[in-house]
Amino acid sequence: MSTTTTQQPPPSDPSTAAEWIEFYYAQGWSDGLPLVPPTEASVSAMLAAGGVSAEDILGSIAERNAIIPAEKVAINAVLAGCLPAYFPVVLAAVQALCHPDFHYHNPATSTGGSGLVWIVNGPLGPALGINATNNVFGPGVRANATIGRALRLVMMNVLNTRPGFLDKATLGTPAKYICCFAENEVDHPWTPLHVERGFRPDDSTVTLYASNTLMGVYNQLASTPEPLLLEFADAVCNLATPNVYGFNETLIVLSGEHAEIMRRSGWSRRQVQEFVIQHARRTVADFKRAARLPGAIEPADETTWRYVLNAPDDLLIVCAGAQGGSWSACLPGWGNKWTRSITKPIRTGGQS
Amino acid sequence: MNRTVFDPTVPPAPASGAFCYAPRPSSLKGLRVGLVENTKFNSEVILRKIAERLAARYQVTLTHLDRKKSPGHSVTPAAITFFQQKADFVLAGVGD
Repeated sequence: MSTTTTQQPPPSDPSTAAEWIEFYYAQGWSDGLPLVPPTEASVSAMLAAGGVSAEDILGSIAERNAIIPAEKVAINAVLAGCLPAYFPVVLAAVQALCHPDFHYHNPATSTGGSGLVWIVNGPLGPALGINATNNVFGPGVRANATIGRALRLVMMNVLNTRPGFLDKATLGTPAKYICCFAENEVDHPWTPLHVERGFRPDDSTVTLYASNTLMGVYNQLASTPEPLLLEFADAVCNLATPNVYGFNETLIVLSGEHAEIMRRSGWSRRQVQEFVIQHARRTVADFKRAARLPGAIEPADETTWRYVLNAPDDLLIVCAGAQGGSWSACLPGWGNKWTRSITKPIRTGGQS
Repeated sequence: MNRTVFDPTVPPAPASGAFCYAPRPSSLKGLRVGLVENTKFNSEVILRKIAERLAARYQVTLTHLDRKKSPGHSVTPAAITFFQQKADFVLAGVGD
């Protein structure tokens, strides 16, 4: 049996690589997928691309008494299949993980099983080929897949976030494998996320956000913001989401046709945020009927509202996905007031 | 032939044996208890109920309840110092 290819394959016997892959599996260092066996050269190239030394300490997680050496991050990036050019993104993402306001130990350990979402902004996204458009949460793009995977491997191998050990998720989520994408800054009704957060348009950043799940938001008939945003508000205050009591963050990913509705309307980002916040609410009676609040339902509960989001900036809005199709997404936040999304600049200048 | 294995893990710190456990009391009778409330929904209710039962059965006195910032936060050094001075044992670890 043979297959054809337009490229010449390497001269070495692939069974050698297969033996190494099985060896690395046997050490218990994998996320379940095959690992790329590192070499001195590949680890050194990773460190050089990030402009860091093997012995540098990139951060720590106090509650786990864990430190993050640069060499270990580089090894995990190689194992994940990263190109050296991706490593500055991985380094910035690790810094976000260690930010005290993210509070890693909460979303990483929880039975709620958060998936960590990595959003890349700025010129480095397109330069590295990080997918921002068609099938943005799907497979097929090396940068999205391997950057996200490298971070999960760091979490497992360096921070001991292993299922059943310091990862106590009841169900987990497919996003625990990989959830990394770039924002589509071209087809955008407003300024992109990193500019909204105080960075320059030509800065590159990575934003870390802990989410419980990804809900598709479908609407093919809306031609103005209001009906579409009512749908988003309904997704945000879904009774099944764990944190519906306020102090939460929620991420909305606007895709092509829905982003175009916003652009044509002339609505500002702040208008959109305020509209969703105003409508992402449920009565106390709703919460009590679903046993999301304790106690018997009193007459006043039917007209007493509780709001899921407190402030406009608690609603993160980014653009990504294909231009065609009537789909967007809502990713409710994992974490009440116990974690906040973090944006870090990506430092380039190493050798790649 | 280069056969270097690159270990991607970091051993948990501190190393085994670095923890120093306080001596365990032989009896709870008349001791002072502290509570670490972790902000989970039922945490304070259950901890206080346990303290009440300990008081009834062993004349244990509740001296302090420390409310953590979140379930994932550590107990603060100040709270640990307070417990060391004001409590003989501490109850913690209540989830949903």
